[in-house]
Amino acid sequence: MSDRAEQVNKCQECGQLNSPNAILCQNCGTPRSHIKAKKDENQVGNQETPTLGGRINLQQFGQETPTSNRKLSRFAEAAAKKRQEKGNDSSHTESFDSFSALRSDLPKPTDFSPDDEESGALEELNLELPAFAPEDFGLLAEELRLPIEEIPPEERPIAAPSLRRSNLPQTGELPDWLSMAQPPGESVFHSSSVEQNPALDVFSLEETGNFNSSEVAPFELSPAERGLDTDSRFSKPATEDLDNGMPTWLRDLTSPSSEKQENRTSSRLRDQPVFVPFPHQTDELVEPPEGLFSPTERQPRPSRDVPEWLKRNQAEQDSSIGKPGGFGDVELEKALEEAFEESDPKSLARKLLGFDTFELEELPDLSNNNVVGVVRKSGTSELVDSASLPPLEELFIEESVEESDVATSRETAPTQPVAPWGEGVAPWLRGLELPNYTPPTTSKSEITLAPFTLAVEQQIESSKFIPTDEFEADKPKWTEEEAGSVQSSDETRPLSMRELLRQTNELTSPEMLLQEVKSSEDIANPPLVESQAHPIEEFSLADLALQQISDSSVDLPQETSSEENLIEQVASLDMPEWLNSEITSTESQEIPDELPAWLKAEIGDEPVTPTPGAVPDWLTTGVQAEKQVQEEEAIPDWLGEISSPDSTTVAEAVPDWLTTGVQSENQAQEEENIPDWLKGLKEELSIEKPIAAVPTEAFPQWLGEVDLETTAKPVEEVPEWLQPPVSESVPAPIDAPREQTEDTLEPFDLANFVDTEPEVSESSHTVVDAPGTSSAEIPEWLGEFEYPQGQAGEEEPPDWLKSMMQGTAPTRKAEEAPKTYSQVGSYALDAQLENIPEWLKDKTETLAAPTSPDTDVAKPVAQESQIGALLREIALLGDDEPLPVTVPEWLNAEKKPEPAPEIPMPLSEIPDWLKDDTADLKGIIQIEDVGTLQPNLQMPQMEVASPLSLEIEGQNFLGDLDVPLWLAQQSEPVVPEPAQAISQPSLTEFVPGQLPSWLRTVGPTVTEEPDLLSDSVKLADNLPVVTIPVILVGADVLNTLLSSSHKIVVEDKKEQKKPLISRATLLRYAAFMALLLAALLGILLTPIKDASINIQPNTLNFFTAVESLQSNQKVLLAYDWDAEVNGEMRSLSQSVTQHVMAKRSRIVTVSLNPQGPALASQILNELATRPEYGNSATRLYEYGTGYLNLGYRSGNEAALRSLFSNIGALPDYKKGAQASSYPVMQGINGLQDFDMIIVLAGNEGSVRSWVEQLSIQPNARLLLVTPSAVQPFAQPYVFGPPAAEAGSFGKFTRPQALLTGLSGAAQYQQLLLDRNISSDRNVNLLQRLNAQTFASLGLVLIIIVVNVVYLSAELRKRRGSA
Amino acid sequence: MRKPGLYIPIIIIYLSAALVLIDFFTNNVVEGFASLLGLWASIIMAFAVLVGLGNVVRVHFGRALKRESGYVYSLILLLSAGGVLVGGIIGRVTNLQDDVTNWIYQYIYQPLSTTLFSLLAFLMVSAAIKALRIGTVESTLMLVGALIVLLGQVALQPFGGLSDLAHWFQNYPVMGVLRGVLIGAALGAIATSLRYILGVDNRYLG
Repeated sequence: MSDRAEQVNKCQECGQLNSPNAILCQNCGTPRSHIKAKKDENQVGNQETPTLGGRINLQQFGQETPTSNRKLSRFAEAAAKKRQEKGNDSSHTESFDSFSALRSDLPKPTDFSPDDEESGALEELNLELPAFAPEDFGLLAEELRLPIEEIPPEERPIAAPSLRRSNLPQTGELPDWLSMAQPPGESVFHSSSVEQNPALDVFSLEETGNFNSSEVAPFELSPAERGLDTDSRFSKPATEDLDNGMPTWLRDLTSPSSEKQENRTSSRLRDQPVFVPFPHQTDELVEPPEGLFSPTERQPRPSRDVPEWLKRNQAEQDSSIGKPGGFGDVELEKALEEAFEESDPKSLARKLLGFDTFELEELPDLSNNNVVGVVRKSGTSELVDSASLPPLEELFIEESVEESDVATSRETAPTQPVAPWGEGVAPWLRGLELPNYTPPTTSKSEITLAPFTLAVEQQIESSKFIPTDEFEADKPKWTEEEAGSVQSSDETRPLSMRELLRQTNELTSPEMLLQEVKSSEDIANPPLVESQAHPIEEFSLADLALQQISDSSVDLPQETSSEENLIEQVASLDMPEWLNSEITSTESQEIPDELPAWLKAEIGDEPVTPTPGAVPDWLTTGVQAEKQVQEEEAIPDWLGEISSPDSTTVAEAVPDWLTTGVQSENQAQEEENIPDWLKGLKEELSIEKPIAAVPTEAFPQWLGEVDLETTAKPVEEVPEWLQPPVSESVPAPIDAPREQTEDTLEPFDLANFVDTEPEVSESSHTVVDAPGTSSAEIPEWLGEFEYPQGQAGEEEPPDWLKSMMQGTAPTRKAEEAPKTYSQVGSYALDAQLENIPEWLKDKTETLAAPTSPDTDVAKPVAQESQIGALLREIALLGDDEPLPVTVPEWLNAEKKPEPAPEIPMPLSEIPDWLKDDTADLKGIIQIEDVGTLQPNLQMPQMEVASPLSLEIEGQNFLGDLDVPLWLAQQSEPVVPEPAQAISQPSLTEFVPGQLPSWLRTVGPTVTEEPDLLSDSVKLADNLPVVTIPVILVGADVLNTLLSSSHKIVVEDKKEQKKPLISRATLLRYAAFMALLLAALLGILLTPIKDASINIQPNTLNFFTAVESLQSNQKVLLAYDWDAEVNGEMRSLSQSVTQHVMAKRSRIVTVSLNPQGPALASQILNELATRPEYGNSATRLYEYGTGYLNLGYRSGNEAALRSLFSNIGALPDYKKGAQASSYPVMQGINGLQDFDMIIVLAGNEGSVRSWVEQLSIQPNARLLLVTPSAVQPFAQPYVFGPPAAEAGSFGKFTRPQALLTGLSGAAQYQQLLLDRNISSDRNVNLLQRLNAQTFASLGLVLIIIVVNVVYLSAELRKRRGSA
Repeated sequence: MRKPGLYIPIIIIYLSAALVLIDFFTNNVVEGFASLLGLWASIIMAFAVLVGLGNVVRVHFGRALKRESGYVYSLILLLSAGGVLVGGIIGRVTNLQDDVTNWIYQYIYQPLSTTLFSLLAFLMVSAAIKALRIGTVESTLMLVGALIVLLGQVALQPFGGLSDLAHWFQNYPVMGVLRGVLIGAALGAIATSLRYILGVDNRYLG
């Protein structure tokens, strides 16, 4: 992510990264101001109606947000304080957030802070703005026009295979009211409407200013309703809404404040926007019911509305201010401190909440949405209702909540009526919200539906749910049922068919199979609680949110027994939940209490008679006038219009969908409201699989109450079509399953079932018109409804209930009631698939194999999903023993024996994905008859259907490959056991610790594998008798080593001593020594003693120029060299200075180098003492009279420029006196006054400076003396005479001569000697020249030798390579 | 130009350059202005040297106090600088003039510097062994040039012919190339000066 994007997405409050479109900070909930404009620009694009664009900030309209309860604020303060102390420890924050989700009345700590509350910022923070993420809108990164890399990894779309525009329902597939708000031909999401969030109460006129209620869509839509999350609408409601099945927006509208408070977390995650069209679309709108969103009818906000019980407690608290022991006491503060110090989330949750969260196995057994937790004491557990939660202060004052306390609090806390999920929902919408998670109930007073809390879901989602001792503190053991329920009860895991296939592919490791075999006993005894839901793999917003939550889940330490470990390992595997649950579930020898009533009835228990007290309020109000009125108020008007206008009759107490079935006028109206795609759904529902006659007790709790109500009323008040169907062709099916399922739950034989299924479909799926109800009176889709095979006189459940029951208790035919819940689960899976609309079916069809070529949609068998058909087909391949559970394809494939019956599968009906596989297979193996292709999945199998034993065209799969012995044995085709008569083994056949025979075949053939450690073999005869383990036999290396024909090469591991000096270093040192010897030879031996020096032209020109000096002329010697070039420059400087002195010229020295003055003083003082140049007797050259040292001038060019004037003002080097005070400076005021300037430059910089600065001085004579290294840089400036004379190329000065190097010095000395000018004998130029000459020659020789050696080596290399 | 404050130094630079140029190309217009600026520059450079000396003392004195790694060398540096400084002061005070500093330079610094520089010969030998190999055309040309320059150092008579060859090589091929380089450098210097004068390049202002 780029820095800018990161800054934009960072929360200004907490600094955490957020989704680019998140309105609120996903961490702290702070509204993000910039998002509004961004939303307007990117998503909404509403430029015409700024008042409607984007989400409305309530602060913008000056809306007041009531401050939270002081008590809660104190709680939040403590949390915030602790978080600050912890340094914003994310784990604490997350834990607290989870607690807030568990207990709705707990505020999030991030929403409050002491400063915020005081400064009023709390008002803004307290908004119920959900933290939207792109995924919430079904948006992918590219749709947001935001590069995926700019989105934080944690916010990127996790898995949204179905969230594509192509999957979105088109206009015709949406409800009318929604489709009208949508531009025709466009997807819902890309409509030019404006998204609003009803949770913000944006529909309040006084809050929204210019907001026109007519421009507001009636309600918000969940992604599923909008077609974004295509699967979730048919599978289950939102996770948090599981209790009542209502969409969040609807529940917010209809439910009391306490419910909204409970779903606070849900709202944050799942509240969806409402489409507000553009003004030009206003005409097309269906105006929402009048007053629906008016301020008077607006429901109180969950955030500001404290539950009633809490209000009362608060009132009591307020009245008891100042009393000891109240909230805010030190004791409570201490309790809070201790609570946050807790590292165990379970313990912390217990402290904070006052109850324990549900264990996973308890979740499916609960149906009351008010139950938020459980209090366990001494082996007993008591459910905790949300309305009966004890005050917070009690939780913290008392460490443990006694049962009596809970009971007391329950008594004191008034129970609020809870609106059921179906209340006020349109019939078609109820079908949408049909929860497949319908728990069975045995005792209505005890079994309630527990909502999924975020904490539990987080543990489920994280797949790291490993029970610990602490977690199991109140439980004796982490049972296998729990392990199974971990997976089976997972309602939120986003799975798609693609994901299923992917997981199937991943579950092919032998290790996985081993684990499955070990848990085969569990498979034989599937848990009874798992049949509640086998949700269609789906992708919903809750999945996204929970996935994000699960990413941050805390790993619990794993401290379990070996058996538990095994279960946990299996449970932790990434298998489909339903399969995982089946594998890891424990056997249930006895019928648990959690069995649904209808199943108990089938087993043989006494039917459970629903008690009137368990009837939910919304149904009881159907017969109670006052409650009816109250209920009607909760129903929006526009929904109420759908129902019967007469609300006082008992028939109207029946939900709308019931009344619409018999009221033709309402039916017609409803039919209009049903979109096409929903019609298709209902058509599918109408031809659902026949359901066995469900006894009254089989109804869910609330439905049982419906039964009561309806049975208590005259028959004519019940819709006719709901009256017991009279079907002569269908026998009463209830007796048969009771006989079969009596006492034991025998594994269901899928093979047998499939074989007999067509007959069942013909007999049982008969469309029977309800007596007294003509097809014209019934909606079209209801007219096709098939009445289940039930006993006469029993009422028929509605369609949605059928689908529910089909999800839980499907019966293909009367005599084949579900034996196991796994089988039921498969039905549930099929039922879910059937609920998929047409546009989604197009997608899913490609994932499922067709059952038969002549599939008829009108037949019930065709109503089964293709995947279900596949499962049954696989079941046909089952072993001699029945497969009691619904296993995935790959497991069935493994179980498939060799002579499995071939299922004719035309190539044209092979799904694409399978075609691809077959295409791949064709590339490897030749499949002759694709039409008879068996569903052989290429899964690693242990024995029967192992790919190693897969024979195609008579060749072994492994071919001629050399494989280990045990692998070769395993790859041999195993003759399957003859198929035994299909029997239905009872549970008593499964002996603990022993694998069933049918499952034993799935496991690896351990007996065929040699014991690689204990067995031994004898080697070849020519080898010494050595008994080695078999595992070593396969090691060819060992054979090779032991073979006599091979010499054992023992590597000398002694580290070879590295030479002290490498060859290259030695050669380099040799060169050094040669150079040194050459120089010493030249100095010591002076081989060339009387060598005549070849005078170069430059030297001669230089000498000639100096020779032209006259007596008393002014010569400037610039000593610009340092000691580094002392070897060359000293000789040159002495020679030149000596020559100048010999000419009796006045010498002034100056230096641009700091070392120059010292060198100049040294040389001049030495030469001046010589008799020929001015000893004490002659006093020719004295300091100040014959020569003067002006010292060092800093500034290079600037110093040179300064020397052109006022040079007499400079101090001298020796005494520091002004230069003009010395006689030698007479007539010298600048550089231009010197007759000759000789620059003794030690580097090229000095040469360039002097040449450049003196060149402007006309008629100046400039000579250069440089070392040999500087000669190439100085030579270009030099013009030899006469070209160097002033005026040759203008009036500017050019260097006339250049004297360089030691050779130049020698030449110059030779010239001086030729003129009888004595030179410095100490210089020993001849020795130095000898040394230099021999050193140079030696270096040349070294270079030549090195190159010869190098070339010869290269030549040898080339010859060798050639 | 974003910062108005930068106009002031640029104006100063422009005026100074203009006056120097006028002084260069004219007579008796702004006579001596360039010399005056040169003197100022020399003084400023002297202060810069003094500032540099103070900085060296401060840094190494701090290192010596903190006894950081190599603080011994810092002490030696401080002692040497102080010794030369004290020697110069003593020479001025005791009328020994520059004898003290010259002695230090002649018998301490110069032998050390010359010895250190002489070691360069061995480094050059090592580099010559590695680099001067016949491999590519470029390396071969480099080898030939090195051999010619080395032979040009031989000034003795038996190798006089090699010396002449070396001089020819230096006077023609090498000089032609170097003159081109110098002309290019001069043009670059002119362009840089113009950029400074016209304010196009003001990075030196900070």
